[in-house]
Amino acid sequence: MAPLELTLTAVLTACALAVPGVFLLLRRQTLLGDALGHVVLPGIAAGALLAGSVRSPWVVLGATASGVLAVTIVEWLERQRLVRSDAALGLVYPALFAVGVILITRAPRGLHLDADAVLLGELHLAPLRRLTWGAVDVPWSLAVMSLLFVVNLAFVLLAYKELAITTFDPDHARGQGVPPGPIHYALMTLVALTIVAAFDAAGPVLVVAFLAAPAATAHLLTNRLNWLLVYAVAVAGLGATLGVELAMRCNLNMSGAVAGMVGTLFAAAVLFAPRYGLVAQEVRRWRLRKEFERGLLAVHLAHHEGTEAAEEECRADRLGEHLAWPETKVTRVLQSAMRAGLVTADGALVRLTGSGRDLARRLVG
Amino acid sequence: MAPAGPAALTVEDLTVAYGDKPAVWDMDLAIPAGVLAAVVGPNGAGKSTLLKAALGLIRPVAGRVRFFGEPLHRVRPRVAYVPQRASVDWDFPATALDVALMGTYGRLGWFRRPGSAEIQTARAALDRVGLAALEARQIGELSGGQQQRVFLARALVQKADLYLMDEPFQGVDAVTEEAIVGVLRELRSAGKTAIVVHHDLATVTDYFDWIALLNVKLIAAGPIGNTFTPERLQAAYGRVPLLS
Repeated sequence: MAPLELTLTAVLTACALAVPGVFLLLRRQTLLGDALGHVVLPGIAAGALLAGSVRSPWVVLGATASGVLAVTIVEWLERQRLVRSDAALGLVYPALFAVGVILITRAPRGLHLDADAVLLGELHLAPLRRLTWGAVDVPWSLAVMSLLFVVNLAFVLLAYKELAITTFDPDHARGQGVPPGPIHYALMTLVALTIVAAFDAAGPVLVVAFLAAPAATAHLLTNRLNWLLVYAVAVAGLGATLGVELAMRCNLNMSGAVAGMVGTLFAAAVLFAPRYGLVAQEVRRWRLRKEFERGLLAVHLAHHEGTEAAEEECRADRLGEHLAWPETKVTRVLQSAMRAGLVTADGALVRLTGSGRDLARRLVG
Repeated sequence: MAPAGPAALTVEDLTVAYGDKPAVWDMDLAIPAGVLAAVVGPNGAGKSTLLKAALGLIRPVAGRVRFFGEPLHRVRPRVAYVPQRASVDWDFPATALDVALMGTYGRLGWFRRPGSAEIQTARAALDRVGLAALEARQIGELSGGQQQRVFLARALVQKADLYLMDEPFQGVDAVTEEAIVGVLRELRSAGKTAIVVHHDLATVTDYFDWIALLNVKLIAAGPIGNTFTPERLQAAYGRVPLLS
């Protein structure tokens, strides 16, 4: 068994990111979330230089501010219609990241500030840094991520209808007096804040995985927004728990194992989701084809039923020739039609039953 | 019929441009309350742009817009907008009823959730557009015409006095066209106003009683009988379009 503290930290980090991740997915801005994770660097560096410490509220403030700044610049660029939105993102993201790197390399030696310390948190190290307050003694990351999970969840529940309407149809929302701008910036601020905190707890790979994969997995399982949120949180929690367990048992890199597990859940949903999964789609297609073949047989028999040609057209051993089907297919369809009670064998002749006749009538109209 | 109150929509000296290319050029237009008005003109004539600028979705370069004699923010609940169907992502996880319910969000105000009264209103609107049986259907699984009717239901839910519709007849089946026309006539009987971007010149006189003909500039506007003339059409389209 993995230590409970570690599992809980992973689960809450995953859930805190999965909640806003749902709306990033629906707004087709998952990549913006990813980029946000990197553009916060100059803010972190500036905050740390200003406060003289990496662990300061100024760092969080600076990070969030540079995240919001990045979103503002990207959207301003988009509005100028000079570059496309993905290009705008691609331009702003490395520029701000570069500013961050330069700031960091200019930091005084005593500050212990380097890109690794800021960006490469490791999940298995999370319990080392403690928050003690009276009798309470919990990992720092666990406390912070729990708080952010609650804040994100509260925001989504409170502004549920505003988020839904501005995501689905921003113009219509504006027409009704629900301004998409403030909702968007509130969401982006929370995303930036959660990402900064999650970097410290889990590192960049996991942050992106938690932001994107649970929401995408949930989207394959349901087409209702409320259930989408529930499933995303459930998938995030499950993936984190299983991933930590797997890493402990097999002695794997923990971030890698958890990210791999979340990815595996997504892959499983792609294949096996009950309605939208590839297997379900294939089964549905296969069933439809079977049904169609039986229907076609019924229509053919009904067409010639009671005519002089029936003796020839409706003989089991002549069907293949008339329908231009190979004998194996004729046998298969005949058996399936008999099992379904659509036809019976009358010597060499194939006769429609009552329900077979009904089906043919329904199909031809 | 002399309009009693102020016009439903008044546009004064409106110019809207994308970059330095005007899409709507110094337009003056007043559409009286209580009419079904068609906004007609060739592609790129600025029909959708006029609607969007009037609603403040695009910022005009110059000009003023009034609804019922007031700026939009004073009369927002009286104005409903039906955007083009292609403007949204129909994969969004919602049912027809969910989308119709969104028409109540403006009236509800911040953070309040729709209750049973709102759900009843939304159901009634879906029924009016003939989609009562499909309220639980995911919107992506509806046909194009049905999606258009969901949009119409969402606007009806707003219980507005003026409906601005951007090409509601675009690529819909006969059932949907009939349903939309039925709703438009109901709206007129109830004293409401509709301003509809319309493409099919053959049906303009059947569906509408007022017309604004434009081609970047306003060509003509007025009651359909004396405005929808070959000379005006020639001016708008640069030739006399064939009315099939």
